Amino acid sequence: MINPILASSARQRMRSVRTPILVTLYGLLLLAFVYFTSFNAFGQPTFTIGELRRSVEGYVYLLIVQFGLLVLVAPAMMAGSIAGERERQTLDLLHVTNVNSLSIVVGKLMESFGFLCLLIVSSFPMMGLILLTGGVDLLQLLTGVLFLLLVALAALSVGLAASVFLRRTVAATVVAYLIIFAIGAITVAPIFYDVQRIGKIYTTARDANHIITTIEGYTPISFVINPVLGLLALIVDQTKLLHTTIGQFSHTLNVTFEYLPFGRYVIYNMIFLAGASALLVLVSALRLRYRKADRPRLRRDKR
Amino acid sequence: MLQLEGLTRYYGHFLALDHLSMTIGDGELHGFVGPNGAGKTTTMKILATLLRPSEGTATLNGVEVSKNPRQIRRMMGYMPDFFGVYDKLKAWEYLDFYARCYGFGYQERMRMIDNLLELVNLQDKRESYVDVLSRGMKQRLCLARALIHDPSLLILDEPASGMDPRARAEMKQILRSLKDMGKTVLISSHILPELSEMCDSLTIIDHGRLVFSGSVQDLAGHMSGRAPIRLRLLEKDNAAHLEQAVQLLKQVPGISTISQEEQNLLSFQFEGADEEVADLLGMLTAQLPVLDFHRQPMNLEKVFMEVTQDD
Repeated sequence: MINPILASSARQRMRSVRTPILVTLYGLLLLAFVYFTSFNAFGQPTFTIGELRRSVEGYVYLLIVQFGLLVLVAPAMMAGSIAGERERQTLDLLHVTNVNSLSIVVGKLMESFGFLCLLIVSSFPMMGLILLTGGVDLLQLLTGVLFLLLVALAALSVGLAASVFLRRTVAATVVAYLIIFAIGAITVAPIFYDVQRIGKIYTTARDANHIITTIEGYTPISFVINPVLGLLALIVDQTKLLHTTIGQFSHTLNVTFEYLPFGRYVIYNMIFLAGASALLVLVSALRLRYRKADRPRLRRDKR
Repeated sequence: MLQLEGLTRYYGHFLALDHLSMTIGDGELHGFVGPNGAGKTTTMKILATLLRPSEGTATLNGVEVSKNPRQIRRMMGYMPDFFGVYDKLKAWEYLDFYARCYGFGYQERMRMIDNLLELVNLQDKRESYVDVLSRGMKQRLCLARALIHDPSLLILDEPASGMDPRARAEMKQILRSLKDMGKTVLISSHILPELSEMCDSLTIIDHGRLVFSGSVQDLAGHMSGRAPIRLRLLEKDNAAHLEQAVQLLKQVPGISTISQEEQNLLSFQFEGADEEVADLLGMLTAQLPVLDFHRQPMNLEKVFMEVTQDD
């Protein structure tokens, strides 16, 4: 049987006029963005092979823009999930039905996730254009989509956790965003250490006159735990772009670029995202289960 | 049977419930009365497994509430004093949602929903969105939701609050049907006259402590000795008649506190058995044009004011 919270929330969302408006705006936004950056070249009577390359750029832009939108939108979507039920005084009614806390949080999460999937799927036509001109194959495209989905899931989970731990939607929203930014900052910090280690491996090998194909000895932590770096790794792996951009930030990375197994980093990153989401969901469920009663509002006459 | 023993609850340093003990038998419609902040909602939330008691136990049909919450929830239905509804859901979908939460399958749900809507008189609102229903209708719908799993005990926290008299009358009707169905109902309210009319037994609490618990007859018997009798005489020539009535009454033993309420209305206290009251009535009607003679029914409001403290 379908999770009742999922079914009901989905029904409520689909009845709102905002939903089709959002989906339409999202699609139009991506379409406009991609057209004006990359695809308008194809409207000309002739174009060069070099210009074909622009469709790959279009794909990259789509990944980056959607990543940004998901990370910005997801926490707010979930911040009202449990805190809102509390505020609307419907949470108690759920508890007395014996539906277990895990079902409640998973139902809420899956409903929002479903909607984000809908949005991502609505970007397929634009993303698929790249398959016409080459540069990225279908499997890579699907991997890109999977990465976006996992980022969405993780961002939603943060919102969910905030909603469970905080009593009010407004507070949960703020805290969710703070956590996201904090996570971003904390998970990028190890990069200095990572770069050092990689540099050392490289110079040791080079000084010993070995022929270097891949730098395998060390997996940079920051690329595994930071979603933005994960995105960059994905782009590099699939399109071979961004060498100069990344190279500008770090001489070491510039030099070792060819040898770093970015594809592997992407896989680890996705596993980490999935694991982090699962952990947040479990923590939320446990918290919801063991803190059923709110602190009472010692109100006198509310009426 | 619902049994509370020494139920105590602290909120920080504040003692909300002070060793509350009471018993509610099967099939009783039990009223729960007390001023705001007395601890009614706290008690009900503990029974609904939403709060854990600091001390003491509550047992429903032998099952302890704090130790077996999942089992208790299958046996009881709860309607809080303040609750929200979901927007963009129709009345039947609202019930459907909760029915799914309780784990009922499709066929069962479809059958159940229509029956419940009929019970609470909302059949014609089946396809209406819940957020546009009137307050009374929302409360009836919430009551229907509490009945989905056919619980033997219902815990209703001010189910008629904010409802107009007609809506309250409808609610009373529904509660009577529930009693006829054999359900045990614990209902808290401020509308005291209605409670005393409807309920088999009552519990009065104040500042977390039990003041009275027992049948309505017990309470009435306890109090009615103090209920005054009212005597109304025909208005014509009433000054003389009134004087005569007062003289007559003064001579009867057991009468005290004679007072004139209106131009032709007297009230007095009479300590006497029913036979003596009948004799008194006979004597008065023989000599005076008596229009009305009755003993005030127990005024639960007065009782309430007397037994509870001023804040």
